Formats: sequence, C-alpha cells, structure tokens
Amino acid sequence: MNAAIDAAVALLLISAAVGVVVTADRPPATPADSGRADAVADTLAATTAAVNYSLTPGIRELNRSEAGADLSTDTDELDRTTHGSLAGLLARAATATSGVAAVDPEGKPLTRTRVGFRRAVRDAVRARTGAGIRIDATWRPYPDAPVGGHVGVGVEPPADGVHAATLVVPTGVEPIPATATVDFGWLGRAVAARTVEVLVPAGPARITLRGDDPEAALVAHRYARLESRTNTSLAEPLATEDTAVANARITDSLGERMAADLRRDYDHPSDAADAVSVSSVRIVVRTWSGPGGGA
Amino acid sequence: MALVALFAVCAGVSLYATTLGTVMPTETGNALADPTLDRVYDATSDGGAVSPVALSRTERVAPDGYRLAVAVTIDEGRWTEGSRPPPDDDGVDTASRPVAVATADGSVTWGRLRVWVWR
Repeated sequence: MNAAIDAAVALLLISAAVGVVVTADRPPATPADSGRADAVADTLAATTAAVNYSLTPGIRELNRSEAGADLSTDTDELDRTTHGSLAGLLARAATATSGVAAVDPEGKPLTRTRVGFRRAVRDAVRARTGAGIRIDATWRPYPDAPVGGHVGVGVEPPADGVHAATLVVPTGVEPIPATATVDFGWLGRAVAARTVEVLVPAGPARITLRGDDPEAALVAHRYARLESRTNTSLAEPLATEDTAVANARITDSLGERMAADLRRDYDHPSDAADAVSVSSVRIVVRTWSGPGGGA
Repeated sequence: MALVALFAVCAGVSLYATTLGTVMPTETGNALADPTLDRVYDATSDGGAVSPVALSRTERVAPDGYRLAVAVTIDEGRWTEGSRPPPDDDGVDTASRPVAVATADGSVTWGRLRVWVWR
C-alpha cells in the first residue's frame, strides 16, 4: 500500500512539473528586425531619393489670402524635384514647413508653400521603411521655442518594446559662437538670427523676390506672414528687396522674445546655449515588433 | 503492486520528458544570425552603403561549421551569394536589416540585407 501512495505522490509532482514547464514565461520570440532602429537610421542617412512635388498649395493659400492674388495653379512652372538623402529630405521638410507660433500655439506651417514637399517626402520615406517603424524629424531652436517644424512618418508606436535611435542633420546655419554664450540678450539674438536664416534665407530670398514668377509672390507672402506673426514692419525694406534689413528687423523682434524665454528657463547663458539646437534637425527612429511590425 | 507503481512512475517521467522536449526551443534563436548579419554588413559596406559586388567577400565571415547564404534585395532586383538555404525553416537561422545599396548607376537606394545560417 505504501508503494501506491509513493507512486501517487511521485505522479503528482511530475504533473506539477509538466504544468510549470508548459506555463513558464518564455521571452517572446522577437522577429529578426525589431531591434534595428540604428540600422534604419544609418540607412536613412545613406539612401538617396528624388521627390517630385508642386508649390500649388502655397499658390492656393495666396489666392485665398487678403492679398487677393489670382495666380493660376494650372501650370508646370510650379512643379519641383528635389534630390537628396532621405535624412536630408526629412530635415528640409521639417524646416520648410515650420511655423511661428506667435498666434497659434502649436505651429501650423507659416505658409503652405512646401506642404506638397512635406507630403512627397513622407510618402517617399514610408514607401521604403514599411510597417513597424516611426520616424520623427523635428527642428526647434531650443525646447519650447515659439518657432519650429516637425514631420512624422508611420503610426505611433506601442507603449513598450520600442527601440530608438537618433540622427542629427545640420540645417546649414552656423552654430552659436562661444562669444554669444555669456549674455542672455546676445544669445537670444544669435538664436533668432539663425532661426530667421532658416525660415527665409536672405540671399536666395532676395534673388527670388526680384523675379516675376509665382515663387516671388510666395516669398513675399512668407514675409507678410512673418510680419504679422512677429509684429514688425517690413514694407519699406522689401520695397527694395532688401532682405538683409527685413531679416534683421524680424531678428530684433524674435530675439527679444527668445532672450526672455531663455532667461526664464535657465540659470546661466551657457546652460541655455547647451540646450540650443537651432543649427540641427533631430530625427528619431523608433522600431518595434508586433502585428504587421518588424518588416 | 510495486511493479504497477514502478510502471506508473516511469510513464509519468516519460510524459514529462516528452513535454519538455516539445516545449523547449531546440534552436538557439537568433544567436547566430544576428552577429553574422553584422559581420556580413561590415564586409560588404563602404561608407554606409552596401555594394552588391562585394557579396563574394561574405564567404570568409561564415561561422565555422555552418553554411551561409546572403541576399541583397532592392525594388529593382536582387543579388545572392552562397548556396540556397533549405526550404523548410527548421534549423535555418535568419536575420535581416535595412541597408543602403550602391548600384552601378551611381544611385544609393533603400534595400534589405538578409542572411541565412544553417548546418
């Protein structure tokens, strides 16, 4: 009889062991690609593409605006092609559709001129990356700055199991010089000058304004928007296409505001200077596995 | 009585062993394919772009005692190196990553690098 009890206990223990083995938590099998955010970032930086787009959204906005222009949108004069690395295109899409949020807090694009470009870049990137990837390109002169632009590609990632990698692309403006980091006023002005240079580069803007094509009207429209957003008067310098003076006036207005922002948020100008990122666009790549993910 | 008990315990242990065998993964997952993928990428890429003509260099980076197949795929075509992996997935370890592929016409396009490792 003793043997029967022993056997029963042994079987009970074995069954319990089987149960433990079957229900044990095993790490979920990760698809081969899920941790490859860095590979996606490298590939974005190295791959080139040509995107075709049109300036039509800007012309439509201009026709609707108070300027009351009546420009034709039915012309291939508005078609554009841009070639570059995918990371560079994302960076340009972020800066070209940036907003100045003096009025609306979450900046809509200053003008809709490059909205078509942003859409084309987004499509080009999405066609290559596939599912399970989210890419955000953000340009912001400093955290919570009133100026900035953003492009997002892909659906929002889930809460966990997300890998991330960051890529920094230069905007083409000079970094803040060390001499400007000793005083909040100088720093604010230096940041504002670079911000304006990204929004409306003085040299190309002057050449464009002198033309008589639709793009000249678009640049004038851009200045008009900036004029109202920053509360400046640009009519006089722009009458002679003096974009350097016009930009300096916008810089004065923005600079005071930026200096005040930075003074409020940071104890010392050098701390604030470390947080300034006006000369670069930050691209964050996030990858995850899941339904349809890991591709 | 003792014989019956012995038999029952033996049956129970066999059941346990069978369950263990089916539940536990027999392969080591991606332990081999992932590092091999990195080595293949290092061997074939230059300045961040993979060159399909460099695929022949991948023979050197195969793990000892294993066979290796490599494929680079872009929208317009596909390059392969090594023997064809067995059709069933058993025992074949695979990994892939997106890569920039430098093609003969000078463009750098989005592609995918995949490796298969098996015995």
